[in-house]
Amino acid sequence: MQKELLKQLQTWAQAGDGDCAYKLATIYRTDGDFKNYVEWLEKSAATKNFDAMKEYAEYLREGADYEKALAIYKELAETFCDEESMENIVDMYEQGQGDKDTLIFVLKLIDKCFNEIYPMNNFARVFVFQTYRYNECTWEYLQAVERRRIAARIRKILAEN
Amino acid sequence: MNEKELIIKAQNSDISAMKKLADYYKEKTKLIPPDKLNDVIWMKDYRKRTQAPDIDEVDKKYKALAYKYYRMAAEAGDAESMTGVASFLYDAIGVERNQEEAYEWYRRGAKAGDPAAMRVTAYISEDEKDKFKWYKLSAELDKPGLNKQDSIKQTAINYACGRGTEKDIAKAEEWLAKLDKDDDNSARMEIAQITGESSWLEQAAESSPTAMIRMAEDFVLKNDFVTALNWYKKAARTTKKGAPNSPAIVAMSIIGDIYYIGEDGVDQDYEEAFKWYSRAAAQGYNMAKIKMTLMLYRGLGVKQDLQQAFKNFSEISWTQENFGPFSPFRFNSVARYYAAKMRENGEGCTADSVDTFERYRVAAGLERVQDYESPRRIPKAIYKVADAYFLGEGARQNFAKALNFYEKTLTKGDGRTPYHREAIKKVMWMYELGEGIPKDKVKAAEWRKKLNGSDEE
Repeated sequence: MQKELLKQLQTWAQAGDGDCAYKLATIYRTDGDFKNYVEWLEKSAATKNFDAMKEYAEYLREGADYEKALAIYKELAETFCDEESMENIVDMYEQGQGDKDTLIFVLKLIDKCFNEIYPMNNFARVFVFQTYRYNECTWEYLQAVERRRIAARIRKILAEN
Repeated sequence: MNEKELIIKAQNSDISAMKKLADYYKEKTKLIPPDKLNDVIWMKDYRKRTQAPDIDEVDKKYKALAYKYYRMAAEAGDAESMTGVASFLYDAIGVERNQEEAYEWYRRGAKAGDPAAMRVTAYISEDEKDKFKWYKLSAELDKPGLNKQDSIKQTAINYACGRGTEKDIAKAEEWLAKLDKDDDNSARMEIAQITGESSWLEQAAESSPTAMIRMAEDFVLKNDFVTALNWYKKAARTTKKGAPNSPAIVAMSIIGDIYYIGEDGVDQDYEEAFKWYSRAAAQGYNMAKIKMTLMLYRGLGVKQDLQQAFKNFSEISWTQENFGPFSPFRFNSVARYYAAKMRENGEGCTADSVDTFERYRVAAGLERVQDYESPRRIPKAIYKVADAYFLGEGARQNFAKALNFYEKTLTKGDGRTPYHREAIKKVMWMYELGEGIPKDKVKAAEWRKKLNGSDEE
């Protein structure tokens, strides 16, 4: 089954399917084939595959290629409003691997996401405290809490610097 | 007395017999309240399976008979039956729906002295004075066993707000004194909301946790999180065991949020957040349990424990929650999604593609009872289901199903969902190469257009 899957994945990945390229990369990673892992991970990330981009950014960061890693996290944050990437940008700044401009960029992005998703009304500013009334929005709620927390972290950093 | 004897008496203008017959037939009908919706789903399914005779015809007959005898009694001047006729007409039970006629029967029932009809008449009336008159009249009725709390409450609110009558705080207090503590507090909160006078809310907040939370929310709106936190804590102290969705427990979870986020004047404190989430979770509040488990999963404020996190998510996954009358058996999609993700990556458990597929499938809201559109579906999970069908991992490879679910991914989310773009690409690609489905260049071009529209590429 694994062989068949691998063959299929190779065919599809070579035809340009980024998702299959990422899947292929994860199989090589599990098998300890580092060269092929990185090759397919990079290819998949180039197709803008979400999972691959995240993993590739992590790989770059571990290899001290901070500039490239930061650029990918920035793109992920902007394209997908991805909270983990936003958090990574803040972590990188705190560890001296990032820059203040990207932090401000994320802060503005969070405000933008917030206003787009939750149009202003009486409760817009406090919607995260409305669990009791908005418990239908569990997923969105958790996302919003995460973004608000990251924004608070950034504001604190900016105030201290 | 049996059915036949009652029919004879009713035919001889015996109002009591008419009412008894109407009640008898009403009992026999299947008037299903909303919280029994799942039974209806089950019943339909059961009928399909057993091909049992359609119960609807028998049901229709009883409803029509019940309506007939209520109508006879109402026309003979019985107040309660007038209300019965009105409700049957309003809800189209045994008779075609006629709202205007229903309202007219409610008014007639009210004038004839039926308290239920008075309350409905007050509710439907558009004239404030008329509303007040009927609420007050029904509140003043002295009938044993009559539930007048709502009418008393509305009378008090109208006096306090000067609605349909002169504003009279002394009279409002007089009526409020007749209510039990919970209704008294809820009336005061309503008055505060209508008049904007915070003193009413403050009075309610002396004992009502809901009012305490409202007080806290007012301070949140003013960006005063320190005072808000104090009010939330006051509400949290009113915890009663065995009520997982009580305001006090929700307050605990919100306190956790404030510490977790780190709002103005309150420092971010993961440990404190974890403590408050855990307290709410221990009382059975699943939303807080999800939050504390996410902290466990990420190692924030507590040592990372993937095994415990997986265990928690799995537990919550199978907890039935009531999110309202139309979703009586929703499971928690978020917990299921995280449990699936952990299973997929082998975090805190062994990786298992079949179990992963099953968990994503339920997180996607695709199980049988949730076949109807669910706002709680998680687009990421739907994409994962599509992927499993596409790759044949965890499920038997099925390109048609994969295509169907890729397309479903696109109907959910705000377009920013990470897998939104991936799904468009996948569908385009399947049509372009004819992978698993017939090659279709026109459709492929259509999807390419969508892809180009979704980003800068």
